Amino acid sequence: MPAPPEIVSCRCLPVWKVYRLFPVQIYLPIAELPANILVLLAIGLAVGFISGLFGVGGGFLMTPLLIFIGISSAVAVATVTSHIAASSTSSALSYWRKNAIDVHLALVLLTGGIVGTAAGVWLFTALRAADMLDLLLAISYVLMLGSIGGLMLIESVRVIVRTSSGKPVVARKGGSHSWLHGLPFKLRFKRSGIYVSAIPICAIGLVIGFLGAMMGIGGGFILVPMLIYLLRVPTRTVIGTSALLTLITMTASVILHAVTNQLVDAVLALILMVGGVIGAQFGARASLVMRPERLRFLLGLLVLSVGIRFAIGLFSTPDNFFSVRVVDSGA
Amino acid sequence: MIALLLRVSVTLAMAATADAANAESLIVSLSAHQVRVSSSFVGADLVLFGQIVNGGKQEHGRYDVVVTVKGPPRTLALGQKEKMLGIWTTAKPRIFRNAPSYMAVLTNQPPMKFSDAGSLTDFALKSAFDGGSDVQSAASPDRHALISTMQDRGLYILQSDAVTFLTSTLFRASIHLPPETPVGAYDVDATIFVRGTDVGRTSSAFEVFKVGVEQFLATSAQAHSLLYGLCVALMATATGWGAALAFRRD
Repeated sequence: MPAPPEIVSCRCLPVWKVYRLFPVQIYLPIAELPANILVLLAIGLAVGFISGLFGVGGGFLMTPLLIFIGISSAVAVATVTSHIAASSTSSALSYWRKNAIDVHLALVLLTGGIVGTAAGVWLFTALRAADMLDLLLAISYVLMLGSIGGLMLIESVRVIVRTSSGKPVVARKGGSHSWLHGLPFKLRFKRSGIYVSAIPICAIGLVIGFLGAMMGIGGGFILVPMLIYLLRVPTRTVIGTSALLTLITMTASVILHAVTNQLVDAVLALILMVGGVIGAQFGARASLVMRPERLRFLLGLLVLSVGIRFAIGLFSTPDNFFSVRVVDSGA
Repeated sequence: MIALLLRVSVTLAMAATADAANAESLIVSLSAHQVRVSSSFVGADLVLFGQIVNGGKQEHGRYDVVVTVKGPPRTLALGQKEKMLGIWTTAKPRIFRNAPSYMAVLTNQPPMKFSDAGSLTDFALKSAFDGGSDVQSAASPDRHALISTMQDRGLYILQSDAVTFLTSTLFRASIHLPPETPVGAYDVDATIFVRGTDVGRTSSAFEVFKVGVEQFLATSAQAHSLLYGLCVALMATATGWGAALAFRRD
């Protein structure tokens, strides 16, 4: 019988010394720089909490945060897609258990989603080669987050004002029709109870997939309002369906980014994911305690502030006028 | 690895067979020829020892040393921010091909005092661009901007007190590699000056490479990118699944 491995006796290794064995700095192989594990875990936890609280992927917050701590925007976008894939798996699973996903709708969204994801990765690669990725990313963040955040704020303030003044809030009825529903290729979606043309669905999937792959955002905070307002999908299936779509487009995006740009950093992704999925569970629990319109207000505020931060970066005089970028050998 | 050893032995042989009648020759030794980047890498410090050997003639002049370390050549893009339509954007970048991705110019005192070549920056410029290899930009202000920007990032190090003389002929240079130091082959060049003239030089080399998990991941990302992508995607779904299961409380 082989001798058992040497185990350090618990008496010789007091608990307070164990932390020293755990390395605090870890070298990220693709980003090619060392990072503090605790900082990364904290970012993952915080963004995860927010994503669970609001039911969004959190990418729109995590990508900028990673860029602010010094990771190149290309590696940040590519790696965050994996994080969003993880958090949307977790949330899709919990909605699946409650039977709150319309799989057929998700599949139709996907047909546009996959094409959009591929287009997003292609554009990302092209921008990076033309050295315009950082600028385009900043501008898109400002435009998108500014408009969506602003809209969310306005809408939630309107609801809050109406409820506090006692007037009844007219809830949008799922199943009602707009002109979009009248376009050709109509399909019936039993679980959501809507009957709508496939064209706007594919278009929405295309937009979400594209934005997700190019900017490193899950798009949940755009997709859910789009599904609710444009397609009149009822609230009971909308978040679960959007989680499923996000999961698949983000997974496709991870694989495509890994193959085309080789910029997905597995170590970074793992640390962020672990923090993220834990934080998301706590966030989801916290969301049950708050009223939905207040949550939307806070989310709108958060989204808008990230957009404003990017705008400030674009318009204010930079600290360094020069920047040097290493072009990959082979470019 | 073999190429590295070959390079080091050839340069040592060359140094050993330097013309004895022509005064000085120089022998150097690096504290390490391999810098391993593992998961706990936060930069590295190497020491270069050098011994100036008199060719027989007793030269009592004061020696000065310039040690130049050059990292692997890469294509660098220098971008300058300009205001366009109210937004600060980076104009079309100046491309420098085969520019060193890391460079250190280390001397024992400010070069102005012992050499006509000028300041540390002049040495740096000569060292980085003497190959005449940058294609698009010969403009001098761009080269100066490249050097100072890389200095801000810690990848170019220009120090006039990094070399210390332990005896009149034995010196020691401290080479610092920052955490973001590029992976690849590094060349070390040491030149001795007597009363302003270049009287001897020799070279050495070392290599920075990833080991272990870091190397495995970086190589897989490049060589087996589809498998790597699938594994990361799988890891993501598995983590999400695991968390949903672990926290299940319906």
